[in-house]
Amino acid sequence: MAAGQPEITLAVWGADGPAVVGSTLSVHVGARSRSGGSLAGQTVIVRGAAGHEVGSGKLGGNIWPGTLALWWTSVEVPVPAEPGLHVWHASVGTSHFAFSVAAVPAPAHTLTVTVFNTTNAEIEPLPGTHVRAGHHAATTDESGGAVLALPPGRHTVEAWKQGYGSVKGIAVVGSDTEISLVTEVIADKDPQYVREHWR
Amino acid sequence: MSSSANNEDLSYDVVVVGGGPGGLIAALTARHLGASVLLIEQNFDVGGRGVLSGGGAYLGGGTSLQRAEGIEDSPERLFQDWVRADSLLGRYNDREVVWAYANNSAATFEFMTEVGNVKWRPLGAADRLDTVKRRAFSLEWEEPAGQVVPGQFGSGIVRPLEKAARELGVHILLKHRMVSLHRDRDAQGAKGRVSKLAIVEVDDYFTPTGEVISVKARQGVILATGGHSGNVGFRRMFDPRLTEEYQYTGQNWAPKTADGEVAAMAVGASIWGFAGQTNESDGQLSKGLMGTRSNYHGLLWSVDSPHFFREKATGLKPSDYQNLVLVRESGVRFYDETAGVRDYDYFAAAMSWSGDPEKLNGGGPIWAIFDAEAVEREGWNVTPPNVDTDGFFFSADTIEELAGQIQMEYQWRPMPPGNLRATIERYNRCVDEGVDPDHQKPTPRFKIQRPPFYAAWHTPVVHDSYAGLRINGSAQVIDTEEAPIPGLFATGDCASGFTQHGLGRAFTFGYIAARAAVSTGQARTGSGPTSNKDGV
Ligand SMILES: Cc1cc2nc3c(=O)[nH]c(=O)nc-3n(C[C@H](O)[C@H](O)[C@H](O)COP(=O)(O)OP(=O)(O)OC[C@H]3O[C@@H](n4cnc5c(N)ncnc54)[C@H](O)[C@@H]3O)c2cc1C
Repeated sequence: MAAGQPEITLAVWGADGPAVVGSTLSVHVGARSRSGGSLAGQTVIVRGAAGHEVGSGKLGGNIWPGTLALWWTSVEVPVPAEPGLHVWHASVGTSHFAFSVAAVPAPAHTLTVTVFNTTNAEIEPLPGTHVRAGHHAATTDESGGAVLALPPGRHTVEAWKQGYGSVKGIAVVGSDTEISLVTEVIADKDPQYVREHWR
Repeated sequence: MSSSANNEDLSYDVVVVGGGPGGLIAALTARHLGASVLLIEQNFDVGGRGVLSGGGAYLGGGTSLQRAEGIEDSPERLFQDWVRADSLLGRYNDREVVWAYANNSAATFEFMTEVGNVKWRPLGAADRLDTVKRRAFSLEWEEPAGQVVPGQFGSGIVRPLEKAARELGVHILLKHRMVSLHRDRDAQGAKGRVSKLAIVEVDDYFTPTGEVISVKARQGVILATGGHSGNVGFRRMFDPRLTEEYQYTGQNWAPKTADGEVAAMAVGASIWGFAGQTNESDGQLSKGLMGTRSNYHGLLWSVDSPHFFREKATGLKPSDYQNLVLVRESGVRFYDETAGVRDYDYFAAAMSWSGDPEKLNGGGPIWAIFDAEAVEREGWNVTPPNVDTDGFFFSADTIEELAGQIQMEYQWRPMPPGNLRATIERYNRCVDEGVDPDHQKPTPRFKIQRPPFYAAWHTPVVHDSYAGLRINGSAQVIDTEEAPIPGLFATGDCASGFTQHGLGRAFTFGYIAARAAVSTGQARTGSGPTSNKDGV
């Protein structure tokens, strides 16, 4: 392994946002030693941005599936009451890894976004499109639909899929609401290159 | 004859170098006109990159296929389209070359159909500079063994030509590489014809193994060696950034190392068409695939390919660049990963200065970094033979450990683990925010978080050659004093003056070259058609 690599290195996973303000987030923290030796029983500490400890745990006796020597545990992390992005650091000894989550107000309604592909003047549902309203994101299913759980208010909704143009719309969410967006295949920047899905 | 030659001099009317589209049609045409023909190919099989291709050839100007589909076309229209001043693909073209192409394209198509027995699909859409439907796509070759990459239509355009050439008596010498050309001099020392060439037997990895053999060409030598993309010194004449780390399309099947250009330049040939290579348009570069050395974006290798022992891995194709980040050798992101496959601003960022005075040119490797969740979403299999774990694919339990793993011939300095960790920590925050202030990736969607982690080679790859040997409308190679070199012809990607991707110009100038070689050769020697008996 290269010089400059700490004795212990970490991974943090499961911090999938957004999280509702005041809720608890359960994250996995894994650690491996340079030699691959056991780290079972070592203490994991999670600290907030100001350096205060917000959670801790001890690495368990098993390695994470698919890894060679990653000892891991789960740590409960309280999500602050203020909406917005929050950053924490997980540490084992002097090694650390930063992770984050966006805190949002409790959702009140669902917004169903349906995305259509209008390339070649057709109107077809577009699966696999990533749809986002602020911190909230989802991906469309086979029928081109994705459901976002949102707080009330006006939301800018953005939709994007690889190879297609990025599009935006506005949704006013006061109750369960539906909107649709349309997009088209975009040619590469090189205008001569014709994608196979143009006819 | 297939793959051996004895050490006695060989002698033919026409000698063709390179068994790709340009070489195969040249050989077939010359033999059809009665010449004795030897075709020399360095691989253990013919086909060149044509057999790997999509098999869509720009051939028009009023073909029978166009007429059958009710498309009106003419040589004039074909010419006008491909010299368009408002397009980078048209404005720099040598109009003498395009004129000859326009006037011979339909005849080439009919010859391929009638003599070469190529079977065609319905015409494809008009693309690039074509204003009417011209692009003719072949059917894939019916025998899977001949396809090289299963399902590629290109097999159906070169295998019928190979079959027809063999049946007509073209001699094909495999696993031999042309190393030089010989140009006669008269008593006063003035330069004369190209009358001979030197070839050498090569092994399965194109390394010379035997004695140099001399081959006489009474009527002409036709070069169809496929271009210069794999010759680092040569390609850097056009773009100094293209240092050794950049691999090229099809390099393990049909190396194109500028052998034709270099040999012809040594006997006085001029190179030409620089703007066609440097105008940042069309297929000079490709964004690439992941996890394998020869990583053109358009082709996943097959374990059934007869040369898979050279490829070693099929490669992985990302369907959604939300599943990964791309970093430089330093572990730092450099561009919106969702960029298209031919985005020259993306290439410029990937090839920009690394900041290391020890490496001023070239940008170094580009690595795709992703996690176990991305593997699940994409359905990738990240074990060999899908990926090449011998330097082009790495995995590790943590991001920092991954950085330490990345050691291979082109990663000239270690990737700092802290850099890669900082990149991933920051990118994951972009996912929470839903915006990427660094590179404006649209709707950053997935964190790179769940172990194990992966690094896959995703360095841009060199593709088409447009600059090359100067030819005239008869496909004769032109010297630096603007005069044809007697007895020397060129076609396809080793010839230049025409920024047209692919097969169409290779076929058309192969057809033109063979006709010119045979007619000028016969006029010079006063001979009629010869049998192939005086070959070997
Ligand atoms: C994946 C892929 C897809 C493509 N799709 C298309 C498409 O759909 N349509 C299109 O028009 N074009 C396509 N192309 C491009 C097209 O295949 C090439 O432009 C075309 O094959 C060029 O023909 P050529 O005869 O000049 O060279 P090549 O096909 O490269 O053949 C050159 C041959 O010469 C041999 N050779 C080289 N040097 C020597 C030497 N010193 N001695 C002996 N032999 C030598 C090589 O081994 C090779 O077999 C594609 C290419 C690839 C790789």
